[in-house]
Amino acid sequence: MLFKKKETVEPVTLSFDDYLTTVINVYESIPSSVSLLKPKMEAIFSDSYDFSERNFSLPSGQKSYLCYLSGLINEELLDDNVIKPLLHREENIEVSDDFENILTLKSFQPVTTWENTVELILAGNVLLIVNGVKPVVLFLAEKNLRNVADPTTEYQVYGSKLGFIEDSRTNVGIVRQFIQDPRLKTKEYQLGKVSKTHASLVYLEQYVDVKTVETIDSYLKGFNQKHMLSLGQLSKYVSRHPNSIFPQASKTERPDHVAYALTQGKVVLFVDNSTFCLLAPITFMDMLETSEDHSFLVSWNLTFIRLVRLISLLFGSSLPALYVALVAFQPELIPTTLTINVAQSRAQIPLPATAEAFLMLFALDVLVEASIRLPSFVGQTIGIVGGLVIGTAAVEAGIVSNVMVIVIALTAVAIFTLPNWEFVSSWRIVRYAFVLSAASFGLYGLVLAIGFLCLHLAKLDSLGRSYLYPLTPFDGKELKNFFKPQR
Amino acid sequence: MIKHTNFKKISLIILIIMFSLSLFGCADTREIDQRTIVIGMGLDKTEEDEYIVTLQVPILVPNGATESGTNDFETITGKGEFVWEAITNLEASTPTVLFFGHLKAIAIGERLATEGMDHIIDLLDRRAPLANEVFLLIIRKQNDVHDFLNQESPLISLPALYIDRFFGADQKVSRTKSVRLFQFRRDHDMVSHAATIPLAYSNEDSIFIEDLGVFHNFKLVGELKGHEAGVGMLLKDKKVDHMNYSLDIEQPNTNLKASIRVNLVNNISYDKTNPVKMNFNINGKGELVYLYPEGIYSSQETLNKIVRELEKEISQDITDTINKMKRLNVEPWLLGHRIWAMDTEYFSTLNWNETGWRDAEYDVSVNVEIEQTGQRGMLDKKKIGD
Repeated sequence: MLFKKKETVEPVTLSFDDYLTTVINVYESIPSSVSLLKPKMEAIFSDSYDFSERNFSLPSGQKSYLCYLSGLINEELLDDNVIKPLLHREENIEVSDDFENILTLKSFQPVTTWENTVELILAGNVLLIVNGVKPVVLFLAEKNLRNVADPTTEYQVYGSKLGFIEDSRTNVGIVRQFIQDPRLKTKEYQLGKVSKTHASLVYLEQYVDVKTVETIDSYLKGFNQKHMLSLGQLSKYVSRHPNSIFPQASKTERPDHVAYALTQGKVVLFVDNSTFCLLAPITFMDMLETSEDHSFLVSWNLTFIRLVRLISLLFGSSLPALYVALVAFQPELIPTTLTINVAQSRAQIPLPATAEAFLMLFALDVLVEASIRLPSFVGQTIGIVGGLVIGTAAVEAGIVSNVMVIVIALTAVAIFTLPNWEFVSSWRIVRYAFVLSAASFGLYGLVLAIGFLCLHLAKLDSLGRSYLYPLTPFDGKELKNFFKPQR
Repeated sequence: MIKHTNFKKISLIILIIMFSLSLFGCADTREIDQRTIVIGMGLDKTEEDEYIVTLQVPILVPNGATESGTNDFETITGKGEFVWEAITNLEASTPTVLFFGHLKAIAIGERLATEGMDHIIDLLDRRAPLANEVFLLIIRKQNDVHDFLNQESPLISLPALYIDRFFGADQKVSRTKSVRLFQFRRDHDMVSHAATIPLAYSNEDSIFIEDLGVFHNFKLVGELKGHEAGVGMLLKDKKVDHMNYSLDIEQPNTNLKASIRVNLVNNISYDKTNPVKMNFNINGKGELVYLYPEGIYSSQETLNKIVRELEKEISQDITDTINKMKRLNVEPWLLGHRIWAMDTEYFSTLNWNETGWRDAEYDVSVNVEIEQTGQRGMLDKKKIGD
């Protein structure tokens, strides 16, 4: 048989509640006896080497049992504030309220349901049971957090040197340092039935559009996926056009950018375990902005920089396509001396201009992709080798023309002037589409492709806000403000 | 319902794409290196009455292959009973397809121009790949058109590019005037059926483009030489810049020599008489660029003498030029068209092409003011207010 017959696999139910029912009877109350509770806990956390237990007897003779996930709790606090006081207690412990007088701990609570108890243990807390007394959960969770550090992906010259970390609550705190106003509102969510990831929605009341908050709130409340492990997943979930190649939310790890976005009426989404947060709604023009732009002392610098980015975007997306269209279809539109130069540079090239363009674009993207995740010292080597191979060697070997190398080099440099990497990636795809269109139908094809792209952009929206605002709907004041902000 | 809406949407998208693509009209997907780029074209007739077409094409060698790094070129020649036949004959001797998209100039032999070139213009005008912005030139009899196109100027290697740069630089010397194919056609289609084309020739060292050939009914019938070309511009475009005059003024003791560069503006009007009387009211501003003998500073009296002489000279040039064209009964400056456009009825009474232009009367008044005397070295000149 040439192809293996596809086997039908029954979907595995991964619901947390369902899993518990297969291990224990969740409808039973949690027992107050160590001998009954211990085997159940061991069953729930079977095959987990980090599940730790401690059995000991109190001076009064009562048996005690503690269980937790090591690595998530502060064991020093557990020894000093829980175990030592218990071992010094000589009287019998009758009810859970007696713990108030024994433990030198900030907070604990008696257990309620099995689900809640297991969730709290997973969150890094400790379950304590003394024979004959209702078990309690001791809040000793200590998250593994790193210190606040420099943002590593959004380098800026003049901007602040502060970046977010992997804890959404800490990140909200950082934002509060930037905007000390009671109108800064925060909402929290638990996303994913399995991952139970904590997410925070932050916005500035009276600045934000109420409808935007309502929309995103309803999206997050209705989140019914099992996992929420990355910000990209959340971004696709809150996008109304998930199949578009343009991002409808932007990512940042810079608190100053978030603070600026909040004052622009955007909402911010933080998710645990990600150093980035999501900003929405965003527009095409937002993708050309950085928070650093406002650090310029002279406003004309900002005008210049934004114009440079806009022109670079045009160059970076359409230059290879323009080259293909002009060389293969409409050479009469190139100035005569340049035509002669181009024709001379292509005299011994075996590939047609279209293949040449695709080859070079692909080589460029391979180079970018190869060097992006490498350590900086290897990345530099890749850059040099790639530059030599793509540049000099390819020309000398007669595989590509030197004009093509100039076109690709300019394209590569131009597109990276855009501050948003996600946006850059989108335009890289557009670039291929443009070249394909130009290779098929010449300049007419390129114009047609640009026309379709404009249509798509005009149709796109981010949480109800037009993507091309302030161009459509036209807002001259806002447009002027983009290039030359008011005082 | 949803499926129906989706179907409609998809059908609409497919329709839009189909219609958009059906508008695509360029099936010519030839790469730049698969085309023989024609930069210049020469047209002439042999003594056997055969058309001879010369094409100037750059030789495409990879960059760095030539020692000098300059663009080398080649001229290829073909003959035929018709111009088109000669061109198609040429296609047989070139490796790739002839591409006229970069044609800069068409050089036409004087012999062909004298015999009449209506069918040439028709062919050039009719062929779509040939831009109607190409410059036209008449090559004087002393040169073969092929030799002219083969002439390498030390300044710019490709002769056709030399012509393009020459006219593109808007030459400040008013000796000639660029004429593009559409301009020639346009002027020729006006009431006088006359137009001009610059004349050119080359010697071993360089290329010369000066004077204008006058065409009537697509035949070369005369020439406008030197100042006459500048006067032609003044009469047609109503202005001319940088006309140069050198005057020799007789004085009791010593003759005065002066060179003046002058910009002139012409105000044309006419009296509705029969024959028509045209009034050329010319005002100009001049610059004294040379005065001899040394030491004679341009006093007001000297300046007045120079201005009077200059005005007389300009007036004489205009009179001579108009009379020359009247003798040929050719009016290449759209003067008749001006009258036709303003008053067609009156124009029809003039019998312009037969006797109207020849009998036309005219009055020329010239008024020149010297704006700059250029006496930077005059140390004892008085300060203003002294």
